Amino acid sequence: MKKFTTLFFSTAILLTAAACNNNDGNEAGSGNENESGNNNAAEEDVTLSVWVMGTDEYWRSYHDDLVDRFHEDHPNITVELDYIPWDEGESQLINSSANNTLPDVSTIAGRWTAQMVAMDVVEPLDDYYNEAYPEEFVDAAWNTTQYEGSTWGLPAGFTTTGLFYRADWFEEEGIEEPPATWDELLETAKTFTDGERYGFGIVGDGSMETTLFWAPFLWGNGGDFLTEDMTEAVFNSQEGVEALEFYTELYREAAPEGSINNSRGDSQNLFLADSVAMTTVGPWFPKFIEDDAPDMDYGITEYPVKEQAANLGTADHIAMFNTSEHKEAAWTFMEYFTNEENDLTWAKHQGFIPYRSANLTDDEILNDPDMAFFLDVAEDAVSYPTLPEWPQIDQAVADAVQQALMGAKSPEEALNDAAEAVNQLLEN
Amino acid sequence: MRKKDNLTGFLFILPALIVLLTVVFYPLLWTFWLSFQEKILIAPQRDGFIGVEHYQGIFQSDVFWRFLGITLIFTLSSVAIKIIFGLVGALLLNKNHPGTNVYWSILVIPWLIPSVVGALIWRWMLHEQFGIINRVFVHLGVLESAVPWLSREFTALLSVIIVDAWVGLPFMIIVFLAGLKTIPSTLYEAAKVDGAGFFQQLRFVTIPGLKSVLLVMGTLSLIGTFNSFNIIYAMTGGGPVNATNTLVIHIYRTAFTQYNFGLASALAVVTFIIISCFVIFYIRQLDKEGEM
Repeated sequence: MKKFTTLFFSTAILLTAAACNNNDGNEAGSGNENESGNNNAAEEDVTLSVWVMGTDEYWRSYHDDLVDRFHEDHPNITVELDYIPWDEGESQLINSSANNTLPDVSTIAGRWTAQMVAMDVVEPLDDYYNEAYPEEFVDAAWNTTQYEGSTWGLPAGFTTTGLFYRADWFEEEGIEEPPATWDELLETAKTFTDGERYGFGIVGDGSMETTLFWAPFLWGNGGDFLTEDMTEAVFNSQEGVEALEFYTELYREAAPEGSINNSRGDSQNLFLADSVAMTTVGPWFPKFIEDDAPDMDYGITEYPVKEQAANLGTADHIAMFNTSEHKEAAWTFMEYFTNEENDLTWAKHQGFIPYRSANLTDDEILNDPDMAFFLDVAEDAVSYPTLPEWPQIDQAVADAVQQALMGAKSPEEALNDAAEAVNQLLEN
Repeated sequence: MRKKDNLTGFLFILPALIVLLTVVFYPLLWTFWLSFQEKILIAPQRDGFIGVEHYQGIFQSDVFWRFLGITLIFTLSSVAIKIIFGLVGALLLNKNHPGTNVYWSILVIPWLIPSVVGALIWRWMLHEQFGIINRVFVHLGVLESAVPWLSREFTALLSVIIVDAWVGLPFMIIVFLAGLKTIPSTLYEAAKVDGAGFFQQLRFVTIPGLKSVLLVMGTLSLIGTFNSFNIIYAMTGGGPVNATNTLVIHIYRTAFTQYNFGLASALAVVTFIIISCFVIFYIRQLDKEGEM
């Protein structure tokens, strides 16, 4: 089994260095304003292998185009792109680390970065940029790349989340305001639940997406995953138990029973298929609505709260691996990937929030109401804790949520069991 | 002369032997070796030899016994369905009714499509909101409201058993059909003369005539179903809350979602030993065949 996978991955990633004609005399300098202090990119031809997480058509068209533009600026660097599905990304990276078949550069979910650092495969970036460089990024995004006093990646995508609701249905039922509190959310969701349609599209498939969905409820009730110093689980506190009890109630009262197997994509599809009145998604969703249900009358509002406003802020990174043999070229590419122009293009293309400070004041961004909303809630965005064990903690929480939804355990029992497992993990 | 013959023979099987050694024995030994190691991909600093610790852990945890139980329920139910319906199907197709060919063409469909595709189609058919099965049952009044088949423990296990049997049935029917053709019609004629009805013919002629085929197919099917991975993986991934987590799925998840290759290897070795018992039984059956 293992051997087979090894073979499979190694052959899949074996690179054939493409020889490209290089007309010499090209200034190989970085095509943007900031001086990295390391501007002696080699004159010889280099082939970089780059993985991009995400496989849908929007991702592909954007990244293909970016690589083409990069190649025009840097004719001596050829970039070979591989698109990896999000749900396989983590295991592909980990398996490749074990087999020494990592690419030079990869985009990576911020929640995986510390784990990869602990495996000693990520290249620290501190020596590649000058002091002023971090200032160009939005603090909240830049901070997610910091672990144990070093920088392990550059921000490459930043999103917050909000509650999408069917404005037309609300109107039919005579509901004037979208729900702002937990009680209102439950009440409103029940109104729409009649066996044909449901109030809320919930995620309960026991994967990381389940945690993504539940986390804002935990934070919105004043709870947290871990203690400040990240040595102990606290998600089984009173606040956490209440949050899971509420989530379970929402599932039983106002969500399809099958949500227990639903991923985030499934809940989005239910929303698009006129089956649910509300669900929580990130800023890429309006694009999907435009394509699949162009006439839909929807609204976006903040997460309903109990104690404090909170939503999930996630950052994607672009990281270099220390096995790379072309680190200079890799850095040149990363710098290009995350420059101001590309950040803005990406924000407009995909609906992500700009991670470069300069773009926060861009007119087009500010005038797009959906975009303005997601920018606005960024103030309340909370990120996951940064530690190598996070993916395992994430999984333990997701299992606990699913067990509570199934009724296999009470919310309190499920969270206590998960906390016990997490504490054991953190002690080792 | 004799020696030379041996050498020539050996040279002839050498290519096949090399392939076997590299693709079967090497991974097998490697897995066995790994099962005595701590090897967690995400914690490389903890790698090292730990002896039989994994094995102790496996037999002491109730998790293993629970998943073994699920595996046995899944395997035995699926094989029983395949054998019973395989026999019924073969008996029906053995007579030359009009339209036998049409039936036959419909019956082989599950065998012809890739099993993962079949599993995904079933997953959609069983879907709570979009699934046709709920639509039909609710419409006919069999169900009051739609059932999320794959979201409840019992129905999820039932669903994967049925789909696994559905995929394996056509092959069963083919083999039984071939077996039926080998029973001399004179036996049936003699039975009829003695006044045997349909069920007596089945009991005293058909089943004994198919005995060896039944045994061999039964064991083969047991081994295959015990190792069935893709259908469960594509339909439920072992969920909800481990309700369909058979040992094979459990091994996969230990290795590829927890990255614990040492423990996964130990589990694989244990499963290998369980399946070996089936195989030994199967080989004995084959030997008996030879004596007949």
